[in-house]
Amino acid sequence: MDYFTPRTVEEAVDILRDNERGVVFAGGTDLMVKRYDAIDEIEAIIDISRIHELKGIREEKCFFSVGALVTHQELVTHESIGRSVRYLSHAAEEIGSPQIRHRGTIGGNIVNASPAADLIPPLSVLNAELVLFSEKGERKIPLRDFFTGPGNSRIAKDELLTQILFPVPSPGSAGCFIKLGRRKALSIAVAGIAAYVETDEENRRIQEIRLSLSSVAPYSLRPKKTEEVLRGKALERLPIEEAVRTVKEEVKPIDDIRATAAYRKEMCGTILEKALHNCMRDLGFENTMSA
Amino acid sequence: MDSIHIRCRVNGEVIEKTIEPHMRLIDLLRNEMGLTGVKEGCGKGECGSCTVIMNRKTVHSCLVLAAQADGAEITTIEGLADEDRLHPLQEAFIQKGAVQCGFCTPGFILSAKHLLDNNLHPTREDILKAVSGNLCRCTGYKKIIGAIESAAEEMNRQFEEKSL
Repeated sequence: MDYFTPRTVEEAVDILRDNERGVVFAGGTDLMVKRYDAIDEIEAIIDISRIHELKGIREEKCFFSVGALVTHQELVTHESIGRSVRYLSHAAEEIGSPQIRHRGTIGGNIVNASPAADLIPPLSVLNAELVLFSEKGERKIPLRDFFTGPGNSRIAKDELLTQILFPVPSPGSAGCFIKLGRRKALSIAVAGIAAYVETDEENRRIQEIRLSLSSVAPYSLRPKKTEEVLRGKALERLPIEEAVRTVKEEVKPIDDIRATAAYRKEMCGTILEKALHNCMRDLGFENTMSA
Repeated sequence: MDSIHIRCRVNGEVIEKTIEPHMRLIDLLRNEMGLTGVKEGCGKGECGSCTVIMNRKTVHSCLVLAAQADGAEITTIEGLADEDRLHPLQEAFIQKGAVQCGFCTPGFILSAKHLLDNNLHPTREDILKAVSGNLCRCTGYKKIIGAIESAAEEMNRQFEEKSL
């Protein structure tokens, strides 16, 4: 096995170009489990964990730029992230265990492309963009266009995910992340939801709503019909029952070792309702009536 | 296969080793260094028995490549007691009956140490979160939580005594 420790992104993509079967390795919390029986069979490990330019969270005037090597624990404790996008911090805190959060990275969570990944729903409702770098240069792709199937994405073999960008949400917005699992920690999501709501100036109607669900489709799902049911509606009389019915129709869960499709379908309705109530509460509406 | 030369500090002692790239940190500690207080309960980062402190953060040593420990500072359970005394956490675990088979104990103590090194006034919630990556099949957790609370009190007392 060849083992490389590039110190810069340039070095890393050179190595990637020359080692087609090389495995990009950061925190190792997914890779070491996936390859548990056969770590020694990997041809080349490209350990990117020491590339400084991939670390750190930058806050520009209206967007965040998160380095791919930022750990889940860093997302939990970062003051600005906690203030502006608390639901992203919350999602990071739902991952694994403290030991896993100290090592696992946002880049890894995305590129590993598990349908159950916890950071993807909040990043998706934030309209996050990914920056990919290769020998040929840089390209950007919206997160919502990145996945092609469970464990699969549009990242090329010679590309490295370097930054994750998303706009700072408007102050009149609210967001929420809820994860359902079999345990309170060390648990892969049975179903997860992120919700993002923007209201109009008078705070009377939903101007924009974005939803993203995990573990109920081959990759994170934007339930567009459900969003349509809620978009433009008055906050005092949200069509919650209709939204719950619609989301259950839109999701495509499967039976697996963690839960049945039927249970997941049912739970999507439950966590959608909870998420909407949480968002409404954060926007100052205690009693949203169901229309 | 490339051999790699690494240098790190384990329990205060500088170690230099030549290793294979695929070696895990848990194997380096247990097999190369005889630190068998680090336990392999699952090998998949799901039980916390292999927990060590690396660069002041708890990690599942079964998920870390030994190569990534180059330049790191590592503490295992063997590094807690000094010549004459056990660490207050170790004392508390014994006094409060928080040890049954003992397999999970090193991992729990290191997770608790990480908590108390950063926060000497943890709430019960903080404690539960700090050890959420450690499983115990024997005790039912109650006495473990009690032991950590007790250790926090003792460490506070010692800290105040020193400051006087």
